[in-house]
Amino acid sequence: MSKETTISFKLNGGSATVTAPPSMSLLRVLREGFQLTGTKNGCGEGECGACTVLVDGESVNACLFPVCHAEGRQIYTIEAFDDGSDTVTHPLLNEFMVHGAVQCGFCTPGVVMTTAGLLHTKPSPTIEAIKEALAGNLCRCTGYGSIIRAVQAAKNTFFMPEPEPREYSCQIAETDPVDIIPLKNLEELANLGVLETWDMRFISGGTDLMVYKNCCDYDKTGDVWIDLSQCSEIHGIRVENSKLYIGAGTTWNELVRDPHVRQYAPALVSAAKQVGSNQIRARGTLGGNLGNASPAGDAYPPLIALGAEVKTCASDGNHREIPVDQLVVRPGKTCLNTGECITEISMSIGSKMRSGFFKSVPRCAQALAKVSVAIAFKIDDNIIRTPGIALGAVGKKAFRVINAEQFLDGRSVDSPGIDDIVSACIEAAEPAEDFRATREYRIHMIDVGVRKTMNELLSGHSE
Amino acid sequence: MKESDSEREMISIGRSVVRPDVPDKLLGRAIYAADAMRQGMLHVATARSSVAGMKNIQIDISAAQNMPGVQRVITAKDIPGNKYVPLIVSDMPFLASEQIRFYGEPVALVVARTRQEAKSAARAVQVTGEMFDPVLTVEDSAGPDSYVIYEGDYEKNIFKKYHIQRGSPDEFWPESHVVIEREYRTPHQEHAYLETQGMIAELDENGEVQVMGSMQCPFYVQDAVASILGLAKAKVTVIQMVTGGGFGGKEDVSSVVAGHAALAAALTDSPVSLIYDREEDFIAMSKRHPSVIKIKIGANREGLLTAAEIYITLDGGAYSTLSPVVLWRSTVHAAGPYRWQALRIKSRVVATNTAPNGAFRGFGEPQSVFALESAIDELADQLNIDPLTFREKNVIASSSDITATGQTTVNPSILEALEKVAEKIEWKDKFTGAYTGVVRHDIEPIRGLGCSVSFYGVGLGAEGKKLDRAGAFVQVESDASVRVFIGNTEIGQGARGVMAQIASETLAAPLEYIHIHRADTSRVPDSGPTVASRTTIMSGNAVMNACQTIRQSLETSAAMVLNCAIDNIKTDQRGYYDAANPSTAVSFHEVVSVATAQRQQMSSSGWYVAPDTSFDSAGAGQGNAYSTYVWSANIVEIEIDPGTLQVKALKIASAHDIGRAINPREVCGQIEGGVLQGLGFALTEKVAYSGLTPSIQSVPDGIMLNPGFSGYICPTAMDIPEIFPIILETPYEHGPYGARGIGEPPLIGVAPAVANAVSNALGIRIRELPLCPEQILNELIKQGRL
Repeated sequence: MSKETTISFKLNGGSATVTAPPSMSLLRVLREGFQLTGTKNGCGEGECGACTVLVDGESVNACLFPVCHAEGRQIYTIEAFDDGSDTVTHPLLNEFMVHGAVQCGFCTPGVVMTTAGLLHTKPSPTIEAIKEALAGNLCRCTGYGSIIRAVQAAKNTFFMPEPEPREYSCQIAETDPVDIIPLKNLEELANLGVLETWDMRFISGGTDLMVYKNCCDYDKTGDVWIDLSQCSEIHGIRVENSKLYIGAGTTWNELVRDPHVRQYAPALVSAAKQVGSNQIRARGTLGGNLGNASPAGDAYPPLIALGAEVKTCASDGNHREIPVDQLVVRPGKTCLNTGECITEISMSIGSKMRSGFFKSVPRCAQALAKVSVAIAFKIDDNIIRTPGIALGAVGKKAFRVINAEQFLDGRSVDSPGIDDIVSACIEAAEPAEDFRATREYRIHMIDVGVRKTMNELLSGHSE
Repeated sequence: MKESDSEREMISIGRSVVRPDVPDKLLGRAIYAADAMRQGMLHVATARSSVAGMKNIQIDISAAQNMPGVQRVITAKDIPGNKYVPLIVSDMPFLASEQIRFYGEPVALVVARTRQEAKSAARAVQVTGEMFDPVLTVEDSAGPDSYVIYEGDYEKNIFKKYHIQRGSPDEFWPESHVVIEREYRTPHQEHAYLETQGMIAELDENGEVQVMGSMQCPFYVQDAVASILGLAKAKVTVIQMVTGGGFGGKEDVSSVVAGHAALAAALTDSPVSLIYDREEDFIAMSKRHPSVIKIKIGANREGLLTAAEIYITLDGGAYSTLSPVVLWRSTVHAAGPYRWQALRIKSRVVATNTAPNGAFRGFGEPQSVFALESAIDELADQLNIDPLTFREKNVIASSSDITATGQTTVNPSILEALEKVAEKIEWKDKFTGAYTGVVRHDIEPIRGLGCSVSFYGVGLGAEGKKLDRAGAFVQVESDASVRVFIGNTEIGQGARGVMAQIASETLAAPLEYIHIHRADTSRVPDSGPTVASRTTIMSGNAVMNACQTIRQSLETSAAMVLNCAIDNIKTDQRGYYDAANPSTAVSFHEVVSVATAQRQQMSSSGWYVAPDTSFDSAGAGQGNAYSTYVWSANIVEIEIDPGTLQVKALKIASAHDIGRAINPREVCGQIEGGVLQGLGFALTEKVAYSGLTPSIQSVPDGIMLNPGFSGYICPTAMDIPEIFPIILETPYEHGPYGARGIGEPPLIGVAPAVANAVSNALGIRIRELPLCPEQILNELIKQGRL
């Protein structure tokens, strides 16, 4: 059971203090604690975006944001745009008004906040960037066209509103089934002591755990969350001794932006770009995705193909290194011991290394993979070396296709034997038939995904 | 008032003004049901069945009663009034007490101090009994061994049947040059309104009940609340709060939510809030009826249609709810806006053990239009005629052509609509034959064009005509502000704005003077439901009617001020003026001051009854089914990814003759939004049930497998095509300023147009929605084209 904690942050330019269970969602604190009901609850899963707020300038889903993570942050909600006038005064909102971008209005505050987050960093986004940013905000009324036109019209005029600062303070007494223990550094892990008696999880971004909690799926939440987000050891990306090191707490958006990752692990960047929505990518982390051990986890295929390893830290302070393809035992379960967490992901790099990623999805954004394929190799004198080929969502876990790798290793770029690789991949897969896709389709997507990725990686390479 | 609208400049009609509800929504000020707080408010959660079929049930509430914070656990036996939800046939219990007929059926209500406590305790309610094999498809429903879910006027498990017969199709088959027979299928579609269902209920010291919340139809809710509590309707007040989308999903089912909330408030004597989670909203609320439609149609050598035989089966779910009227609309429109020499349509809606299906934008028509418009294309293909030309030759085009029910219509404008969309998408230049080669991932994306036409009877029509009337109340205050009460609701479609524009125009009052109140059953008589794209015509006419009475007062006073005859009074943007001396005008404000001082009548109720309609349901199904129709045409341009086989819509032109666009920009908003919802229906949206769809979870049959936005795939901003809304305006004589309605028509024709475009692209015909890549793959495998 949780102890209430007091958390202070900046809210709409004023100061906010809340005493509440630490794993309570920011959404509930805003709505129930501060009566800021402009931020809406549409799903509780980070799918609809109606609860979007800005945290340090980035749009996030307030429903998946544990309030303890708000400490010291700068948060803006839709109420920041309300200056008490009879009608709207901010130019962005005015564009929404005159373009007919509001119908039922329930998605509107979230859409406005997403847009604010976009225009705040990119004052003049392309239409594609606007659509990408909005992909995490479902609207069932407008068909999005009027919203996009409104945002286009607001280009180069956006400024963050500066509302009259208010003091926000509240106390929410509630028995919360989940407690959070924040760690300042990994050494503190050793001091926790009684780990075995807890049904514990590690939390960083919370984009999975908070979903379980909002759905009251307490088997999946456990009762104690060890919060790693403040541990400096899990942050940062560096290149050292021909290896790329990525902190487990790196968010998807950080991965996408990082020049090293872009240079040495394009497959991972491609996967990161396609995870969830912008709001999810701002919070979800690489380590969290691995720890969640989903068969469709987006990080697995690229990391397996790239031959990555995770470094872990156990509660006794010991470290070990585990290849990513050996991390998962069964769906939802890694081989990590109780109290052992992923701290870092590393992989060998080389200038000749190429990698690519393919994900089959039912719509253009925000979707779980029906199939994912990642391929990596280097080319030495027109010969393919050290290939890595991995598949996701077509088995109990993402896996390396060793037969396909053996086929490919040492082949010339002019005759890579793609048909054999495809056959080996299909042979190795155990695609399920479910509501997301048929078995036949998954097999076809392995075929297409492998061919597309191989063609992409080999294109332009005819020396 | 008698001058024709086209002769003068309109004050508000036809202008793309900003809707009055928008600023509050943008600023987060608008209060939806989940945002409302009351002193001492308790929270209600619904305990639901975790299986789809169980008889002789026992409900054990003892564990739930002892959970923290729980004030009361309510089951069916606690209901003081009627235990069934009042509707066409009242077969759906408010709370199940004998049988479970669908997964998620409500069995008990838990009232607790907090929402979390109520939710936790609701999970502790135990239901036991004898499980039976749930009926999950329309085919199973009729099976000899199938469970009896419903017994009524027809065979087992049939809620309703309809029959339309004109001439004898059998006589035409031999002389037809081409005849095709096909079967088409459509799945459930979830409304996915962004705001889940929610209600607030409270009692006052006089024993009167007030229910507020998210809804389309306050008068249905009033009925339901009075019924469950056994109260006189006069003691029940229902007020609609700002509502976050409906699309039909808050038509009848909100009555259940409101009934539950009112019951909990009455039994605990406390204000209560009942807000649905997304998951339970998915599981237990209504959806679009799945359909199986068999069609036989023919044409002669000249490419003219001969006869049609259409057999419709809709899946009604576990209770009849709105199924009879959904079936009727589906039936009446099933033969499309075409000239048939003979036709026979037989339809039925059957019971299955799934959540009751109900109203969803289009109301049975998207299903029958998908089937017919696909079949029309297949016939054109057999005749080797361009599908657009084929439609041009055969659609209802003159006032003497008749519909399936033998009705003639005024100024049918499908040809014009077709011409506009064809022009927009450049059909004549772009339409070519299908690609019939091998589909490898590295070929260019494959493009295709598809078209569809449809017509939509606005309003409730002959089978719902008892309810097809509406009231309004308008009061001009002494400061010239105008308050307007209407009986239809703003659910996002822009009704408040349209009503304000109509009131402004009729009174010659500046638009900003008009204030449209939220719908409140204590202020306006039963105006029927906010459905069937009827609000503009019905409430619009009622508002006009009330405003015209007040306008007489204003004209009398204006004539005195201007010293002219009342008949000479005209109005424009400036206010009231003498037609003989148009340079001097008196402002609305001034006229109101004078009229008020003269003790003129400054308030009035308004009333409007829809023109008479008819349908011979006991006979051949002939009659004037609806008083007016919206005429529509769509052309879709798609691209198919040769690798993933996914269909991407690039452009959709969507034309609709709506009589008059009161607010053209908002009409375009309805078209764009409806088209995208139609595109979701066409491409990705589908509800999956265990027993029908394989699942790795081991669960009993009939469990919804994708009750949330991660499994149920709606379009995002990245999935949208370029949408070109086209508005045609052939005035409707009984419409306010000539207007009809636009809510539903834009969704209806999208799916068949996309299916036709897929056929045009690849030469493969998919007869089941959604047009997912899995189906395209299967067809290509069959044809050996991979």
